[in-house]
Amino acid sequence: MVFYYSSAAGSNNMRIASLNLCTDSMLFELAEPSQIVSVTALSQDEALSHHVELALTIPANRGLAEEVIALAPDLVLTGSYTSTGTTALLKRLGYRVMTFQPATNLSEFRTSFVRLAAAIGAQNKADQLLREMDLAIASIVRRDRALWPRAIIYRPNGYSPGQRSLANEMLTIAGIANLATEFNIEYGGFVPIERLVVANPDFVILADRTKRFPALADMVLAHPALRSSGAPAFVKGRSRSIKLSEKYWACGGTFIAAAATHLAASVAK
Amino acid sequence: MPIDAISIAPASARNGSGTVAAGLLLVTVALFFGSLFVGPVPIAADDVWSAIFATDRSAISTVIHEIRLPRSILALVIGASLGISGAALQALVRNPLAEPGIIGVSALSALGAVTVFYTGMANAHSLALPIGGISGALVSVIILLALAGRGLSTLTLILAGVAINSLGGALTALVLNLSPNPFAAYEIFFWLMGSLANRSFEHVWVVLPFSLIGWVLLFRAAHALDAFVLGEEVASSLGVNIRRTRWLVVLGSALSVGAGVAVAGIIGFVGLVVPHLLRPVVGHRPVVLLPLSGLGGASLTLAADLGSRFAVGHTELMLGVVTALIGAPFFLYLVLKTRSQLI
Repeated sequence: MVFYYSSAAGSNNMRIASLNLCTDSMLFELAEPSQIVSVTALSQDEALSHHVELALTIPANRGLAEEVIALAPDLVLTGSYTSTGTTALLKRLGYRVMTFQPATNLSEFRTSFVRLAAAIGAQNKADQLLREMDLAIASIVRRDRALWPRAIIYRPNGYSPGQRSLANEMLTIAGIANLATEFNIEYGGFVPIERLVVANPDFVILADRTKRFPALADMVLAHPALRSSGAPAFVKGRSRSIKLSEKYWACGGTFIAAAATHLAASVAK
Repeated sequence: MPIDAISIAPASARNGSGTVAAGLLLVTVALFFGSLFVGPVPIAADDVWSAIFATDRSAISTVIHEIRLPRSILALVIGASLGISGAALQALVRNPLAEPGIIGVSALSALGAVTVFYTGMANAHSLALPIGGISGALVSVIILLALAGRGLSTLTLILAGVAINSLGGALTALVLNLSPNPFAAYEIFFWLMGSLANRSFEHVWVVLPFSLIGWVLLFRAAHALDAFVLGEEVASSLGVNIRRTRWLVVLGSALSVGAGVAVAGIIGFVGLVVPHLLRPVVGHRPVVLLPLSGLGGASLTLAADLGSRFAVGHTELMLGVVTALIGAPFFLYLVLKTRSQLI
């Protein structure tokens, strides 16, 4: 990819708009608040974003081209699978658009993070944040791999992230075996309750939400089989479920270190 | 009874219905028990057999008793409801294409269930969900009846169905947009396709009472519906209470279909395919056709649910997808066959 406006890189008055929750998240970590002209409305949701306070002070967008054009940004960040119509339209109109793939492991996140940093002149900040993340990851105490507890991440409708997911990498860093990989789930897939009952995981990791709202996902978890099976993760009153806020699962960020530390501490109890 | 004097079914068909009933019963029982043996976790037949009678709480007996058994019961009950309702609605409006899915009963009961669920009412009371589904179903059947004042042409029926289905889908999308749950649309996408996966006995207890009441009402209408084949005027002159029959069918199909949709989502075409396959064999008389369509609907749904477990790719197929794969081409065939009535 060739950037025609590379002279703008590094200047503090570069105006950046982001149309994707995950590019929002990287932008908040790397850019100066004054550089951010718009982020998605999702970033204002406490359940999904690490930077709600800041996001609330910035005009929110819903991924529409008009919203971007009105702000006349120097750089637009988009995800490869969201707002694809907007991305194509903005490119046609001559805007500088950077598209980011969702990260499926830590090294992909690192690559995206460094790429964005280079484009906005925040290399030093990126280096520093990644170094801090690596230090935090290195300080996590893991048992021998054979002794790792087995856990399943149970998402809406019984969806579980598999081998090639950032969530799987997070578990590996925390020293937890992801049960979904035993089921040969590659990116992610639905795990029927009867498989879960027979596999008997040590822990079930659930996305915790700050706001309560009705979700079909909770209906799956309320299945009586999960209570009566005697699987340690499901025994009533001795619940071995771990809750981790939704915002740690949605996107990649240097907060992965904090999430993995929390998971490692939860299984060590 | 005067109705018995004017038998519509050919003699041969009436003699055959006993054999058909026995055959369907056998198939239903076989499929019911057969479906206990199939699932994502491979369990040897011997182990399944002993787990059926086991009282302990091993992982395998949990799988059989708490997961596969309620699933089979739900397939049986919901399938029977769809079959009986389909046959009854077809007799009532004298149109072979009247089916809960096609005329929008399922779509509106899904709307009712989704509304109750995402506003949090379902958490407040366990009966809220089926009542939501039943209310939606009731609205759509009443719309259908309002349209059917003087008999219903196939064209009107299908166009009304298109309208009710679109309205149901649009309002469901609106409810999801207003939900505070950011994953609502994602969750419901799979739910609406219809599935019995991961259901439990809690769902059975929610569906069963409403379905049983619904069946009783529909069966009570069966004798009167026999006369409807000749038209409402003739039926009326034979001493049939038209209003009462209508209300029995409306309430019966709304109760049984609405409760089913509330826990399993939309399972289409069962009520269309089953009565249509049975009519050439057992005749047009609802009094015979209704119970047999119940058995046929149960066995078709059990078979489709069994088929959905033989996964294509990583995840099992949605039950509604399987019934649509069977039913939609069949529906097209029926439309082609009745094309002459359309013009």
